Amino acid sequence: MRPFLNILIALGLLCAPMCSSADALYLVANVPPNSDLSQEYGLSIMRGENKNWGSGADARVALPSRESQNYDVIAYSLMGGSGKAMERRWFALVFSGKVNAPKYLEDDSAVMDFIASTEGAIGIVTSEYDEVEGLMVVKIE
Amino acid sequence: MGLNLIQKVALPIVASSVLSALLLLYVIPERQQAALEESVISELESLAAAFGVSAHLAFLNQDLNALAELNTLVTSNPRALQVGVYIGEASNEVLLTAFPSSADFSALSSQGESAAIMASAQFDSDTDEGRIEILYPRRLFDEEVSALNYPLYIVMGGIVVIQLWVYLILARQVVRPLIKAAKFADQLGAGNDAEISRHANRTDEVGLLQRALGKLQRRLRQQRAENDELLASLETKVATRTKELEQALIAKDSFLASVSHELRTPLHSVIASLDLIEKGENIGGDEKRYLELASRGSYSLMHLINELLDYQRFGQQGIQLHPEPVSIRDAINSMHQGMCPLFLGSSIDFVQELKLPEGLIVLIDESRLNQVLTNLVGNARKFTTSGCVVFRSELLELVDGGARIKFTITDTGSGMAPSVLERLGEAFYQADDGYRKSHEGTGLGLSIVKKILGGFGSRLVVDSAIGEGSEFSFEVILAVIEPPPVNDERTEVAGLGQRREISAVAERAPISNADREKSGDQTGVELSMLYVEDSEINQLVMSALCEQLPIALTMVDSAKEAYQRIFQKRFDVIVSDIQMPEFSGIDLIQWIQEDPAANDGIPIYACTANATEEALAGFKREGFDGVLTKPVTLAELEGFINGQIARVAQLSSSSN
Repeated sequence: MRPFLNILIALGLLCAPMCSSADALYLVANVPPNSDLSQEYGLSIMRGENKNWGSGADARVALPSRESQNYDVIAYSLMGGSGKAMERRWFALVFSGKVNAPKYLEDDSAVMDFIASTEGAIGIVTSEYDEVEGLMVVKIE
Repeated sequence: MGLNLIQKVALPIVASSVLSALLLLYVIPERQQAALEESVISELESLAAAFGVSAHLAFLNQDLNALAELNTLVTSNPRALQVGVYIGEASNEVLLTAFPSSADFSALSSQGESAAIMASAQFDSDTDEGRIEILYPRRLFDEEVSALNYPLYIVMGGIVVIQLWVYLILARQVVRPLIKAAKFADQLGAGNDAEISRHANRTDEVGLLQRALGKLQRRLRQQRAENDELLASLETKVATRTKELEQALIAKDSFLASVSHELRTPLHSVIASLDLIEKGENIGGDEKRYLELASRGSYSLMHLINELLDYQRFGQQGIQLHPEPVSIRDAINSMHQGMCPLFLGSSIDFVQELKLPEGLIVLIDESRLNQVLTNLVGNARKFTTSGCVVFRSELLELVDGGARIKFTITDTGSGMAPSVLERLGEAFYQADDGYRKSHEGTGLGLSIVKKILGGFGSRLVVDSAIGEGSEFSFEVILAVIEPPPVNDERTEVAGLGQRREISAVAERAPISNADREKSGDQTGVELSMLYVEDSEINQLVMSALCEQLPIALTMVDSAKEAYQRIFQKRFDVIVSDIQMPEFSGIDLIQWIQEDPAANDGIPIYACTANATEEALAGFKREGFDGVLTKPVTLAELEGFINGQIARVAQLSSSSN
């Protein structure tokens, strides 16, 4: 049973980029003062490699929940794996205290609302939104 | 078991130390370790459960906040716990993550419970199932236990130190002072004035004790001073009383000596005169009878004086013996000779059975033995009207340097009833009124005999029956100075109607006046005698007595004149009175002893009425060869003269 499930997951992962290849991914962050947002630094935060901004302020990561359409897409984009794998990775990171607990959200609007209302928050959305004051957006190349 | 106080104090302290040590080093640490382990396990299980719930929520709701908080909680835990998350079924679980590191966690977990205390909790969400495992390394647990035990070790050390301190305090502050107090009390008890201990300055109970002892010491000192004072007072009183007593004794002795002298001196004249008159040939009939009565009365009076003096002396001073080496056979023979006159003129046979070997020299007070035997023989003579009196002397055995000798005086007299025997020897007691009427005496004789025998360590045995006569006997054990030769020939002789074994040298007493008259001038030697006497009466008596004897008598009335006569003529013997005007007989003998020209070995005899024992001993110490005690009877003088003649004859024959 387990090998078969793994094969299905692998196929799904192969298909996911193809399914969403038309959509671009954007890093959105409510960057705290004295910090800046670059693609690499933003992605490193999203991968759990950094838990703080350059100023030292806590970074709060918003991740797609299982109900989100971007669950696997963003996971693949960030870590080259499925959403479940990303979820386990973030579990391990939080469990070991390396990062702050992420916020799982259903869709881009929820992500945007969370980021807008939370200083230091960062997330990935698939739609390009109008410029929101105080938020920085970087398209992931 | 006798433990001193220090040991009694030390034992419970040591025991409590050991118990405390066991408690603190073994029991409490073990219990603490167990309790701590239980506590740790409980904590780990709680944490594991919490992690399990958090994991469940994380996988179910994608809410990792609780997990983050738990992480914060665990990381801040001082126990450095290691927590791991396994994903998958129990049989195929995979370690998802762990902190502080997966590698350390895996290594520790693989060693099992020997290396770590473990707790785990399962979780199972819709998407994942797994297990949370929390490890607490044993090494850290042991360190925690040790850290927990450090205070116990410190407490234990503290307890030991405190107990040692208590022991030292007890030993130094209590036990030692008590020992010193005991020694101090001992010293006080022994009468020594010891120094009070320095602990007397203390304010505690030991100080109280020491102060109490100090008070006791002061009280004892005071008491001792009072006792010393009292003792000194008593000693003074005793000394005064002793001096008074000594003076009284001296006065008494002087009085006795004086009485003895003053009674004997005239008695001497009376007895000697009567003896001389009795010897006269022109006396007959009633005159002779009256003379005999007068003579008997005089002798009785002399005897009475002697007995009273002896009884008084023995009563106050006890018997005092002066034993000297004596040939017992010769002494008994001599005593027998002295007793013979008692039987003169009577029809009673006086038989001596002498069973003493020649050459046996023993230690004895001869005069006291003579007094005893003469008294017993005299009594036998007094109560015997016909038959005989047998005087038996017998050596029973020689043992351990001593000679056991038995003396027996048997008579054929009237005998005594048992009631009389019971009271025999009581002072002033005589057999009965009939005896009192028919026999003379004070009733002191046997009492004196018993006292003397007591001094000899002997006792008088009396066997008597009415009409069958009496037998008086006693045994003495005398120290042997020289044992007899081994050969002692014995023979049997008959006498008194029964067979007796007596010595071959047994002799019968001279029993007739003829025997006596034969003696004295047998040698044909005339004795040259210097007689010193200030009393004219005594001079006359002595002259008269000496007329009957072969004596060339030179009489002077002072010591001074006697001393001059010594250089004018050589005398065979000198007899001197003691109490004389100007110079005494003692002065005379001292002059002679100090002058080599005068002292050419002439025997010098005292002739005195002072017959006390002390006086007689004193005369011997002064150098007199013997004492003639006044009153001197003709028989006594005759015996004395015969002895001197025999001595002179022996000297003449040896010089020739």
